[in-house]
Amino acid sequence: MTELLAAWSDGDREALDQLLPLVERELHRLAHHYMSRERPDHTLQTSALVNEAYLKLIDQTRVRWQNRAHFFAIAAQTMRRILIDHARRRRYGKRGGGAMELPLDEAAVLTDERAAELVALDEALSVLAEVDERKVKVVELRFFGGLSVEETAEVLKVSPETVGREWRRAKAFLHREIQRN
Amino acid sequence: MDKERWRQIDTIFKAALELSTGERAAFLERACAGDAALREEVESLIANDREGDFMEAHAFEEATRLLAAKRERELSLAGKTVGPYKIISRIGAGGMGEVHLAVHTRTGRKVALKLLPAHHTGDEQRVRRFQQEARAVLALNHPNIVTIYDIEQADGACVIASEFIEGETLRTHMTRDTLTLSDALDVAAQVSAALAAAHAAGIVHRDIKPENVMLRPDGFVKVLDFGLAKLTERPDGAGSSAPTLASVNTDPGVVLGTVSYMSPEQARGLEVDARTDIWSLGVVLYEMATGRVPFVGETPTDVLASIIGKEPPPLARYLKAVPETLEWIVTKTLTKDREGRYQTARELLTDLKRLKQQLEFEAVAERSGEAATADTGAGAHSGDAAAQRKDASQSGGTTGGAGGSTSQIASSRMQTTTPLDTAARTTSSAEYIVEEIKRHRLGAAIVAMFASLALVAGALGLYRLFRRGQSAPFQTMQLTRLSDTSQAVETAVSPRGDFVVFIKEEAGRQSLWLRQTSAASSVQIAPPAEGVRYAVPVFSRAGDFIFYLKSDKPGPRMTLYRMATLGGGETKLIEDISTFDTRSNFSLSPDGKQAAFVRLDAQLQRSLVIADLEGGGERVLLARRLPRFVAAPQWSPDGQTIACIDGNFDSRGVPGGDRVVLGVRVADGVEVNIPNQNWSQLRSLTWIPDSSGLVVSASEKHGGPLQLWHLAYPDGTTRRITNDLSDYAGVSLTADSSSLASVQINQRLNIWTATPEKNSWSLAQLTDGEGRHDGEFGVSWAGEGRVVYHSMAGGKSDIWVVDGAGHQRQLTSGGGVNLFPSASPDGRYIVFGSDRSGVSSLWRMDSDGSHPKQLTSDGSIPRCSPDGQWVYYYMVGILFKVSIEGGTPVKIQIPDKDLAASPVLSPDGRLIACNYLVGQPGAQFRLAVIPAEGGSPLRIFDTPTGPIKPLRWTPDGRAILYILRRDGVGNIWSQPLDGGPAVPLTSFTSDDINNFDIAPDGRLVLSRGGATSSVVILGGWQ
Repeated sequence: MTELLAAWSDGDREALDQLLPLVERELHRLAHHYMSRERPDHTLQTSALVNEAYLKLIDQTRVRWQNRAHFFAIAAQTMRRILIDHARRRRYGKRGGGAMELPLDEAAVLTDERAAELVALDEALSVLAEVDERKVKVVELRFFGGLSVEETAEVLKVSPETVGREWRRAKAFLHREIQRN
Repeated sequence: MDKERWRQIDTIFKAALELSTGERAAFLERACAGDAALREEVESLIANDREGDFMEAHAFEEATRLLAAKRERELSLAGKTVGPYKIISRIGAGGMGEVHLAVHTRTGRKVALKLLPAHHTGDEQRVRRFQQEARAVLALNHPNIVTIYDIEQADGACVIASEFIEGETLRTHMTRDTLTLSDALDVAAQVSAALAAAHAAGIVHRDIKPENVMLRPDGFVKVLDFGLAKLTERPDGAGSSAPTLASVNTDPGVVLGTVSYMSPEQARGLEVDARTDIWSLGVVLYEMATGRVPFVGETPTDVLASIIGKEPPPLARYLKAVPETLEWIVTKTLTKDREGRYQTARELLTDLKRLKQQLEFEAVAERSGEAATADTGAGAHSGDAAAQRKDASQSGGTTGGAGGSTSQIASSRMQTTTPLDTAARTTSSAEYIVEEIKRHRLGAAIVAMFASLALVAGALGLYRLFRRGQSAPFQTMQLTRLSDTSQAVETAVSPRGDFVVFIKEEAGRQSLWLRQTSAASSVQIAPPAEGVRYAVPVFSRAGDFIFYLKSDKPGPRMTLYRMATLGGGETKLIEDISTFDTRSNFSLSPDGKQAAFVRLDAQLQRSLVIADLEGGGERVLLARRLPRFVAAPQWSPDGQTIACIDGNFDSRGVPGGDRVVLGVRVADGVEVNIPNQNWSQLRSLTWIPDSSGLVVSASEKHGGPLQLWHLAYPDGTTRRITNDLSDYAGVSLTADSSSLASVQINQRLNIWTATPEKNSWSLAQLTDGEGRHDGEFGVSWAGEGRVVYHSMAGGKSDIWVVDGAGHQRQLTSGGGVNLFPSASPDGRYIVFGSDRSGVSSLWRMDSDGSHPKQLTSDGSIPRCSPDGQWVYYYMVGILFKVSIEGGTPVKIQIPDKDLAASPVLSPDGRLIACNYLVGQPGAQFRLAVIPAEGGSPLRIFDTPTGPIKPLRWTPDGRAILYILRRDGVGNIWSQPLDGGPAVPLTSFTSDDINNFDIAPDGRLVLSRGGATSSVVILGGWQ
């Protein structure tokens, strides 16, 4: 586990960072495919999306992903960034007197309350990251990456029970952090 | 709160959650032992432990909707009509809005249509005023200027229609490819010509940058967007055309790219004129030549400050042999005072042309000179003849130690054709420069022009190796894998070569080991402990001490310790050393009194720090803020310089990497150029003790393995030491450089068959070898005991076949990436996924690899039906089948809101097993069975799966097989169709299973293996 975390922040991560735009582009493309056949009230499983993006990127980038875990970590971080950037812009737009233009279809995704919630959550996650990287990874993979407990366990090479326990304690920490502010 | 405290809190919190509510108070009383603050912390966490809906609304759904919405908008314009234009497709997005390919509905003329949303251009009045002024722009007609046809208002946006250019921008070209010096001069000259014409018409471009320069395949250079910068300028600040120091701060990310090309007068917010364009072109020329912009900074404000106040580094800093004239031209274009600059583009054009001619002339002269030599050179071909001459004269002039090898080098040289060879050629010629620039990625420091073959007296070991290696690449090298070093993570060899120290990782726990190189086994010198990690073991110069980094907390911060090699306690030396970007972030000074290391602060700034081992004397030599970083400092043998990795995470989104080895002078922190290339990955480096170069562990290509390379210093010649599919983590040399220690990591994944016996499985290995990834993306029985499988054995993803005797043959080659093979049961065909047509889609070929035929335009993980008539596959959660002869794919209907993946048809052809997700919140992928003709799932099992997990039917069709992984060991499990509990089919106790297939007779074929590592010693090269 520690070695895996180290690997994420190690040289391999450097290489993968450069593939971020490709990962993002593929997520964009597939998200559109998936959503175009969904009614808005339907739930969607990102796990399917990231898995398929993974398969596509094996072809397109000709990259040997040294570890599937790397890819999922990158995809989850990408999803987190996209969502939080959007939430922040929305918040900023409100405070700045509505000067920020968000295209209508994007603006419909989040309510103001939800945007505020996500920004607060992101900040709480940054606090958690200072003391407990592993819990942050669990939250990223589950909450932003859409992986199931089992998939998260496989990616992190721990038991599903450990993921369940870490997730529960992470939630308590984050909830407390958000309440405090 | 620090990590230690949090660990304490979290441990008690974890234990408390296992207890019932009633038991917790007593437990906390005991566990917190009077630490009231601790107890309060834990209690507040317990109070926040809620089952409720907190964080249950999964953010990934929202993120996906967001992604989809963005994509929707991108696509939505296609087919729309804007004014008289019909949009065909989106070409790209620029700083000023999106650009589309469109046609004029009446004339049918293709145009590039730029749509500037109203918020970019201000009110309509401004646009109208601009339209007036733009008449002049519209009238511009020059072969190097993109003609603007039309500027008008439509649908609330300003629409600019211009000539459609087939080609790419200079920016795109530079990120992908390198320009020769000759090409760079040609581009600059054509841009100058465009500027001269526009300036004559009284139009200033104001925004010359690589994004605005188009390169057409026929060699024409076209400058885009003349005068348009004015349209988007801020209405305040009379005459200022660009963001200024004050105004850029509001939007740092957006303008960072643009500010680099601004002139000092633009940076100051002063009126601009034609000479501003000349400055910007100077910046572009500088970048074309060196791969870097001349003025840099962490923020736009820093960049502007640098433009106003700093002199650009001379080209010579990045290019070893710069024509003086070029340096002069660049200096003149980048003169801060406008009066000192070229006054007209015409003058600049003249100088550029003259230089280009001069270089061409010299190149011709050089060629003919070489040809003349070759004529007298008794059969040697021309380039090598020159090299020989150089070698002979250089070597002959040095001390006796190496003189004897002259003839050997010269004779072997004659046969070599490696590109690196030319680095040893004698030249000061322009042709040489041009060729060198062609050969090396721009942005890397260019290799020294004079390959310094002057020998260091008495140079030993590696030096000879590398020298001879120019022609005979390491034919005599020996690689010894040390026994009893498995699961090694990092290693170092002692200066005399008698010991190696290594870090070993078993079951996630690390320990420190020592091994006599001549002995057969290793001794543990620091036992594993929960959560303790080690990094960068290093021997002291005399070999009597071992230094290492250690930490008992997660995260990148580690502490330096020292221990006597032959036993004893450890001494703590320096705290807070970061191993964030590479583990090798530490080295000792040659006198052993100081350490060089990397420290990471809360703002993610990395500093290269030196400090006294006994404490104090800390000094920061170099600092890098995100996205740049510094890593792996290595003290040079003379103590004067520290070599390190100078990297940038943000390499403009283009795979190719941005890491170079940089030198830093210890005395004053001044950066010293160490010529080398841009690496995709750069893990660690070490100096060769005689200072003749460095050995680095790096990869050139994305996804390529980390290999060992020799980097000659100071000439920068790069040579491979290893050439295989292993990763080499870390590098350490003996004092006489006669041997080198590294950790070799091998990904082992091979094809195995498993035949059922009474109570077990008999395993047989069909393929062998490391780094091949056999079956990683697909394996399939192909009849008569043959197996087709995906493999990287040929260097890229291809389909291979192996027979029962282990004979292997590659079936696909050349085109693209090929994976997920599935053989038809009659043995006639193999279907597979491939991107050879440009998009990933499904293909079919004959069983011998001949007659490839594209079956679909998309799709993943194809699988032939048992009757061989159909191919089942999936795409974005929808199941399809297509005839094996091709034709229109048929969708297999499942409930609209559900997703399914990886379909496999049952032996009787009536059912499909797949990975299935019901469209309900919180649902997970499960193993499911649906009717072959489509419809709702007949059965969804509890078995958790993932979307791309391989599934197979048992030959009797009564159960579905899948891979279950526990503690790193893979086994095949069987889920009975009747709904009984899943049971293990195999009971292997080691190795992972990555993919599998089952034959009609019940035999399994497995892609099976894992990663292994061991300490290796390279040497024996004398």
